Amino acid sequence: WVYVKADESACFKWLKRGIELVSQILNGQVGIILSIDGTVLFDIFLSLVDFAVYDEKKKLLTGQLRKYPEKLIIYCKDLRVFNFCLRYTKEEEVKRIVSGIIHHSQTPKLLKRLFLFSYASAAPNNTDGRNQTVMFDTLEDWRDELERTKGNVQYKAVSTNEGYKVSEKLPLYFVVPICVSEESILKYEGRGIPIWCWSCHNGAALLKMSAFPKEQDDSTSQMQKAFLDGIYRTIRKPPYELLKTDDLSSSLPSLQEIQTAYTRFKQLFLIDNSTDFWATDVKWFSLLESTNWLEIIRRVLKKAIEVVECLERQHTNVLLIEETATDLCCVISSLVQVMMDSYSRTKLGFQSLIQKEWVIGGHGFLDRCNHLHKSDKEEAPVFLLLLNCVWQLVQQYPSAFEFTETYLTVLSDSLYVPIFSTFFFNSQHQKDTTTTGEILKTQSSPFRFLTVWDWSVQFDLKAQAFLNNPLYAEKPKPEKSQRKTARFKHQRQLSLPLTQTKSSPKRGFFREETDHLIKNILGKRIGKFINSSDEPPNSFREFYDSWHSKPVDYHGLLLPRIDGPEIKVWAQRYLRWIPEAQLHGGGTIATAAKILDLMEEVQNLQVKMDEEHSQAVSGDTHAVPMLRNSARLSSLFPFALLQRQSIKPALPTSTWKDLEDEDDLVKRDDEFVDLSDML
Amino acid sequence: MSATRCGLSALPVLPGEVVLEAAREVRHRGGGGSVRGTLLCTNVRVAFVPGAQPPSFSPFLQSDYSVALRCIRTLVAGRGQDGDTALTPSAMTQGGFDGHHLPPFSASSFTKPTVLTASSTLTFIPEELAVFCQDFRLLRFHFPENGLGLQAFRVRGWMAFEVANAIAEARETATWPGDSRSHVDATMGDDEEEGSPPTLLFESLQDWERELQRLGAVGWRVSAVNERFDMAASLPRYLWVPSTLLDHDLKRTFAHFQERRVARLCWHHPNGSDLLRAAGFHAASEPGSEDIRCLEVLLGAGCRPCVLADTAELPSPPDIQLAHLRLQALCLPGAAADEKWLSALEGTRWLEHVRACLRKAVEVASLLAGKWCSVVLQEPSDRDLSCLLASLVQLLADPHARTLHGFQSLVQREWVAAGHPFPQRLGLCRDSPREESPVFLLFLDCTWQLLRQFPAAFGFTEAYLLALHDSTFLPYCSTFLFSCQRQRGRGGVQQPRTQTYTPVSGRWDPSPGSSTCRLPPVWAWGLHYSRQQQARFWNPAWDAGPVGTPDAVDPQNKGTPASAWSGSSSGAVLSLSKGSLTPQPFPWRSGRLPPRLLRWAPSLETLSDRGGDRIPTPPRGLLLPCAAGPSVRLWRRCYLRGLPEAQVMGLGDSQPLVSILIPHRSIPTPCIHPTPHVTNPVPHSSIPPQCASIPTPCIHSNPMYILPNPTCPSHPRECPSQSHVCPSNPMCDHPNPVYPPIPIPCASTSTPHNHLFASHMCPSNPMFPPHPHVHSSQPHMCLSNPTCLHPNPAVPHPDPTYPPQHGRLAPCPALLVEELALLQDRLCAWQQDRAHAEPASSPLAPSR
Repeated sequence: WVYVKADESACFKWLKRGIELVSQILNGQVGIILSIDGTVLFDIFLSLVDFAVYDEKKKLLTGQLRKYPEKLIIYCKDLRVFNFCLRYTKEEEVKRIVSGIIHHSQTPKLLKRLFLFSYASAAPNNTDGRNQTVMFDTLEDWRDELERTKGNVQYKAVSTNEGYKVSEKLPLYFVVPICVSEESILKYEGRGIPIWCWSCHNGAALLKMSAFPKEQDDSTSQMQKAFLDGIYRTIRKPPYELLKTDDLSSSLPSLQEIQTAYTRFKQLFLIDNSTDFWATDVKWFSLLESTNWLEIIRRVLKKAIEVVECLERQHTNVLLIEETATDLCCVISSLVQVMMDSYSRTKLGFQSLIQKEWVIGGHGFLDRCNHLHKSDKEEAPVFLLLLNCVWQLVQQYPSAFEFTETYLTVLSDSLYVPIFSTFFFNSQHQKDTTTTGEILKTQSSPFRFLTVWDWSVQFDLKAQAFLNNPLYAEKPKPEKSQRKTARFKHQRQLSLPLTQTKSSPKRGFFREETDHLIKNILGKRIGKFINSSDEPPNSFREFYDSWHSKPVDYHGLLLPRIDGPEIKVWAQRYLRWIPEAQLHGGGTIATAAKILDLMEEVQNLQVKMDEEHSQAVSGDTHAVPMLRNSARLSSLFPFALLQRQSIKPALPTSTWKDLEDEDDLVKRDDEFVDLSDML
Repeated sequence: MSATRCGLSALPVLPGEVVLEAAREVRHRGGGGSVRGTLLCTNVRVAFVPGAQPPSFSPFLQSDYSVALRCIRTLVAGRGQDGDTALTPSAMTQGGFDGHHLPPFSASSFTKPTVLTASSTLTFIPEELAVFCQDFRLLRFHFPENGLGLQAFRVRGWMAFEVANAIAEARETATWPGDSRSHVDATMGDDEEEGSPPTLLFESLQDWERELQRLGAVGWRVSAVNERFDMAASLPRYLWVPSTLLDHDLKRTFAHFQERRVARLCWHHPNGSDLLRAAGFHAASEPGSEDIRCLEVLLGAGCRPCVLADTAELPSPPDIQLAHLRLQALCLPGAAADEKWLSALEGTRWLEHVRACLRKAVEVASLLAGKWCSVVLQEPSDRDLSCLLASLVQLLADPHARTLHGFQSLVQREWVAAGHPFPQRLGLCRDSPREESPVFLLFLDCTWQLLRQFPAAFGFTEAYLLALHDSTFLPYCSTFLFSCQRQRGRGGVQQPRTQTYTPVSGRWDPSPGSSTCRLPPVWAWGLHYSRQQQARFWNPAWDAGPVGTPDAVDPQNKGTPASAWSGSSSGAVLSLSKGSLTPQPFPWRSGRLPPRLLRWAPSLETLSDRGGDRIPTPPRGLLLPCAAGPSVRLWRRCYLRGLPEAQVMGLGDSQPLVSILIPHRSIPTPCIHPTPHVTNPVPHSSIPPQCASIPTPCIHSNPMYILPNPTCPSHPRECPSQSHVCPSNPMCDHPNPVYPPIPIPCASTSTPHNHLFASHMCPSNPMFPPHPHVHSSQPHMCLSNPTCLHPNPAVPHPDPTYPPQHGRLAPCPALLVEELALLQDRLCAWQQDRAHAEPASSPLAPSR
């Protein structure tokens, strides 16, 4: 570990008070750490650095710098923004820091130069094997999953791809319909083969298939067509259900659109000063709308509901087609499973789902996250899109999920943490070959990759408590649930969709100013509302409306609301570093803290009562109150920043701040402000 | 009348209410299904009574299906297509759910819509009636085919009648002499009994004295100078004025304010800064030197910097009205495409107005609490936005105002007594529609924003705000019927009409001193909300602790804060605009600007701007809401109620409290005794019987309150040998017929509790035996949501299997608190019995 010590390298007003600020770049490639007297104030993984700019003119840092900047702003992928003033720093230090940042955050690099590998070869092998997430890297995992979803009658797990002889993009093991032969799998490197994702309780299955690329050669495309027809014929015959194919590339926004929308959306929250914040504030809603990000979320959710409708109501198999079947296919199939399979709404189930559909399923994390800074063209926040969609569900039906929105937030952050292997490879093949190649070459000990699902690496137990939803409605006993589902179906038979369909969306907003006119228009609008719904009923809408007109079963099917007012901004993820949006003593944490307190108190009292009753003196059953504290939490907790430049509890040097620290921060913050007043 | 004609003698009519028309076999269509019942039109309201039989007595004036006539905005009638065939049970089973075919039942069953007015005549037989309400509800009624001719005739009859009457009625009901005294007494008496601080109505001198004492406002007194309303007609009888100002001197000052609405105290911060409100200075007045002295004493100038905050940055009442109308239009079904929803919402400018109010309130509150200045709120009329601002500032700065009764007192003082012209603003006087402006509803929206941002800081819930929102249109509550105390005392909105003094009650008190109107105040919630509904008014997550008393006792802020300017600037007069302070002399002192003010005034620019160096951690007790775009939301549960897709509303994050609290999982109770007592799973079977359950002596209106053991009449501590006193779970309402039907102030709702632990909770939990009893008389409510007052239409009302068993039901969050209290009591009692020296583990007494 090489420390670049840069005295007086910063920035803040604290400097004048004589606090030594040290900016360090550890090992030249891990991150930036800012510390006062050895106390780490914050650290940033360089892999998190989105882009860095300098100067008042907000010039982007590029390779050649004529003049070294006095001011440096670092924008992170987790939406933090750091301001550094380098005026008091020695020029050579500035050079080292700035060129280090440029080098490691912008220039392309080789996969094996990722910090991941250095870390994996040096990592302490202390992770316990308690991680129960199904990794789907063995044939058994797939067979278990088939059994769990009762898909084993019609589908089989195959090991055709062992040694990657079919395709490097496919996982070692996967599941196909029983009738699909090994030869046909081998024929086009796995293209044109329906690959099983999941079977729903009525036997209908969700399949995905990577499409053939457009061929110039007529005969080739003829052959491909014949091949496909053969495949379709076999899987349309009994015992398979009807099949509906859905080409996602035509019905969903392209990756490029998603990337553009997210980039624009992100800008709304990458705020480096208050002025910007208040400038965007005036037109907040229209700005938000113009980014199109929420609209994309809506479209994706809608598509997922359509697929659910086919599976659930029409008992039709659904085949998702995409060129590689590893981008939007993953989004849709994961969403469908989250909506339909309550197991996917538990923490383990969700992790297994991500493992199955994304990590093993072959989503190109390396390219999509652009970890190597090679090409911006491949970059697209597809996984983030999934998390955003799942968040919509979580916030609409919080008690249906075992995990919290905080879980989703830290998961989205973990995408860029270079010590976990989970999100740093394009495919299982790439991971295998790279690691074996490296080991052969360097003769080093085998890499010990950490998986992100081992949350204890990142967070201590207290902090991990925030990932679990204390108010999760746990699934009742199996036999009960059987009865329940039976009755649930029965109810569905009897109840009809009674909500009227929503009238066709049209017309803008009227502009007339006088009350009188408006009253007239209100009348007309009402008339129009009633008139305008003569359109033929659409089965999607009926399904959606009828589901929403019934009480929710948290362990059954879950459909998100996708109407205009219902799609929201994921406030925790996007607003958490913005002090202007902070509420002292407010936010959901205020009630959550209270609930946790109460539950714990009840628990403790019961333990105590039982103890006293049995007169057994068993010592340490009293849990330490987790949130018992007089400190007032801010709405940004547990991510709270009290000053923009302040601490993000990051890993692995620090864990989340628990409450005492928050309290400390409050005090420290007061000092800072006092100081600023004195200046 | 028709009531007798239809055999509806048992209809729950209000005193003086007459059933004009009735139609049976009508279907009410909500989001979740249709309910059959009887539709009634009285001279006060349109009411739908579910159930096949004519309704029996219902104690509540307002059911969820009824709407006051003057709350109706538009009536639309239409002819159905296949509507009723789709609704018959046979069609339901034939159509089936699993098939591809679904009965074409949708809004499209509604053709030929006609907006009904008093003068319009229907040219067809209506089959469907949609009632668009002012409070954003949408009620849809379907008239089935059988007996169509007759029904339609009646319907047509009453609809036309009703619209015509809706206008006249609104006035008449204002003076409607209901004989509801007994109701009022009962419910208001309840409140007193419950021991919680009652709502002060500020009608009497005592109320003003009491509140002033609570504020600890030394240097202020109650002046009765306006007792006869001869000084200022629209001001309340009693005013808070500086003690140093004699009434004689005070009288000099009235003339210098518009409408003679003189400056007076609203609120006193414990650190000594005062919040005053006043009308604008009268332009034509030229005070003499003696007047100037009195004025300046009145305005508190001289001891502290005095900041004049005008309402120029706030929306004007016409702005609010326009925005509200646009909002109403937007909240109609299909008003904006999903992808254009956000910009359409922005286009209403309603949230912009909310933000402006919040921002201003934050500025004023931080001036009071952080900078120790006195603030004078000045609005030209002092009757609209001053009310809003004064109340908002107190909500931010005074924890007492955030309790339920504190809030009611606040509304009573700053709106009702202060003379907000409710009849004009709510459109009760149809003669002057130009003056309609829902300023009060804007205030409720602002309050909801605060509640959303600080869910643990308020003693009341969204359900309460919704109830208050809806109650502003009630014709039988006196609170919002008058524009000032003087008018209330006279008992009429306009000049008394013929019905003003009807000897029906014979109890009209003619004495001028008694200003009480016979109509109950809106705060008598027992009149129109059931106990269960009222239970949802209390916020179980309320945490009075962290946001305790204002920071006068905060050790951090002892003495003068660095940011306070007292001393350096006493006597300064500043004006607050756009977040910054500028020196501004009183109009009569213009031209004489103290030069030293200029020196430091610019440095105040960033004050409470929430930009730059804003107050870092607000003093305890002070809420600083965020008024930025991402933080101010639409009050969906209120405004989107009319949308069909929102009628069975899921929980959203607009509902942080609910979304946190409602979903509920088993309390992780370690089952150390894995139900060894199968026959008697009551928890205290596992502890010594003599200390089983101690009825708590408190009788508060406390959701955490535990119902006394019904079978244990005496205090168990006096009968220690008593064996096993509680045969049933003491947390459940015991439907014991022997149990005296005293009003149970227990806010716990036994049913969700029951359901919760019966269905998706750890079944082996010895704490929660499934309750064997079914409350058949239970008011029908949407249990999934403690804030939802409306019944879940998906559940048929008089359902013998009630409570329904699906998983959506979740407990009232009060249960946790309740359970805790129970355990604590039990533990405590047990320990005492055992003479253990060790006290109860934690004094986390449910804070109420």
